[in-house]
Amino acid sequence: MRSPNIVCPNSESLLQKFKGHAVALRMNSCDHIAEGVAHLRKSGNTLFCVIVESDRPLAEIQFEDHHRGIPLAVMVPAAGRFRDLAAHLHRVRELNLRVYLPCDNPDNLTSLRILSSVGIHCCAVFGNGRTDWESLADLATYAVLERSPHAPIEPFAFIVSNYPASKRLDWGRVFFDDPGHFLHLDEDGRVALSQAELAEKRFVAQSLGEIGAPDEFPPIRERLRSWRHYFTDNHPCAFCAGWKICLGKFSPSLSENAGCSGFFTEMIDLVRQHTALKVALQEQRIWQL
Amino acid sequence: MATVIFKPTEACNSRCIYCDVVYRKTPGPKRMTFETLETFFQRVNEFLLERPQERMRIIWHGGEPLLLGPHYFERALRYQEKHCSGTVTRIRHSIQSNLTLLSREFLDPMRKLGVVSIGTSYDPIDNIRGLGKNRDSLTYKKRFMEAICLLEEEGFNWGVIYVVTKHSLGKPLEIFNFLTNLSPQKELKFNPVLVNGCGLDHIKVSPTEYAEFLGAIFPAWLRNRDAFGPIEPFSSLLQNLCEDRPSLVCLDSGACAYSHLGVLPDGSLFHCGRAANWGLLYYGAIQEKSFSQIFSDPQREMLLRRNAVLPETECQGCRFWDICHGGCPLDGWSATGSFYHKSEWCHAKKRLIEKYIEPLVQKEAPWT
Repeated sequence: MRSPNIVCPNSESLLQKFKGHAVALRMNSCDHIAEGVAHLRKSGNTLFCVIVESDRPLAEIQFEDHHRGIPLAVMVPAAGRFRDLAAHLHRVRELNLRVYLPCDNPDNLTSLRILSSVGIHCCAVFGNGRTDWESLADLATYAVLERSPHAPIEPFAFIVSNYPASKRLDWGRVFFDDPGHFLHLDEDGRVALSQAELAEKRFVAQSLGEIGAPDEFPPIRERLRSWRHYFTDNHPCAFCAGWKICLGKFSPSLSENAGCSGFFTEMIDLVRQHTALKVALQEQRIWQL
Repeated sequence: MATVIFKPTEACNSRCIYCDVVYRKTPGPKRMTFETLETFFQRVNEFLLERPQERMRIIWHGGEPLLLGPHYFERALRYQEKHCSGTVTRIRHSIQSNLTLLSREFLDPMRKLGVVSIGTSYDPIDNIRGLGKNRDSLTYKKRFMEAICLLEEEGFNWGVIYVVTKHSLGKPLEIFNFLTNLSPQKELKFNPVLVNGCGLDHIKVSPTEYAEFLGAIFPAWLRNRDAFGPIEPFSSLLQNLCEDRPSLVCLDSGACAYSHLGVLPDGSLFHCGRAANWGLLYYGAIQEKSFSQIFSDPQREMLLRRNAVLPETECQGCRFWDICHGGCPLDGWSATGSFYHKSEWCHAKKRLIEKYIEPLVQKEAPWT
């Protein structure tokens, strides 16, 4: 049975409590990256990535040479002034980095496109209730179909790579939000199924030891099968053409998210177009041999 | 391949609004005895030994076959091992079930019988399918969803038939989305409700309504068919019309005369499952006749002759004859009392092709 990846705070004593897991270390500043990674490597676990949750814009974050090679998920409220970012862009581009920007701010949609165009892997963080779905669809179109070189923009790149091979595609793992892949621990080692549930102190176990085989642990098993409720309840999401790549993520605020259905339906069509484009390019390449 | 619609029970835990079995007053027993079950496998073996090139597909049907319990399938497996040791490689089993009784205990004997996929039916609309006399749709749905999770976890495929009723007509795309969102690995099939004098006029759909229902779905499927996978009747129609790879189900093949057999719980033998439900084309009893005798019953000649009669009469000049053959003979009988008439659903097929498929499919069809 696959061992779950762990998302936990940067705490040496906590890391000593378990072994053999891939760990995403959470911290709120880049200052402790080296120290956290050293603790983790001593603990008998492997590094999945470091999650830096900062309230400062990307342009103001100082990355160091020793950050190179460390997988970094940097969650920031904004890209900041590109004039400032440009000054150390060369260093940022050398990092093994993914930048997360909330897309409930229209400026961030532009920033995501710019970051991608300069080769920085980034990710649109969906906001609940304040998403401009049409602008997001434009961004997704750029991410999926634009032929000039650019870095991946998540979760679109993930969706394109995994749909339709996956029958019900949960892209929550891009945000570390998928109990099939990630479990979240607090300072005391208590286990929650998502970051949001951790914040609300909704724990499913007092320690990792209680979980055993994750797929057979009832709360995880139930969560992974929770998609069924859309169908037994005849929820409007179950009748939506975009459900397979959304799984009802926006159902709690469905009335505010009236555009989500159109967006995800369009996203499925983008995947189709991307596949067709790939085939066409392949044919072209053969012809030009 | 010989196809046996095997109905070891006519009892059902569900009361689906359109089910023939529910409305039929069955004179015989609800459940096949072990003695008859054993005779069945003896007959299967005897038939396959007599015809070394022949294979047999056994479709467990009902009623609800899972009502028989896991031990019944274990017993079937034992009889097959006992009587069909030399022919077992030419026997294929599949099951049609509402899945609401599925549990882990069924899966082992099913696997050993060689069942790799289960066919089922579903309708998201309440009060069409449901458990017990009150037709409890919610419990039905919950159990169904649990079952498909179990099947997927255990590596079984499943496919689903959706029966188009009057209640479906206003929401073809919603229903299509709902069913494709469930991601059946096997085919998804849309069939019209068949009403054979059961007082079901309130749910009946006309061939035109059925064609319009399918026509609303076809463009959505066609555009993304690689992702959706095979959906009937679209997939086989496209295959037949454009790819010149004939793929005709029993209804359209014009070849069911000597290939199908329906077995009821008391061992009585009819032409197929529908014939058994409607009490038509009775060929005898399993206790008295071998399958070879049954497969050469003179009544079958009628169905073969139909292929000669229809092109000279109702189907004369029809450009779709090769992919339709007048449709199911039982539909002809249901509407007119005679097998020598075409199915009323021919009209639906023709309308679907001419109004929706031909204009959308660019490739020149072979018949033009």
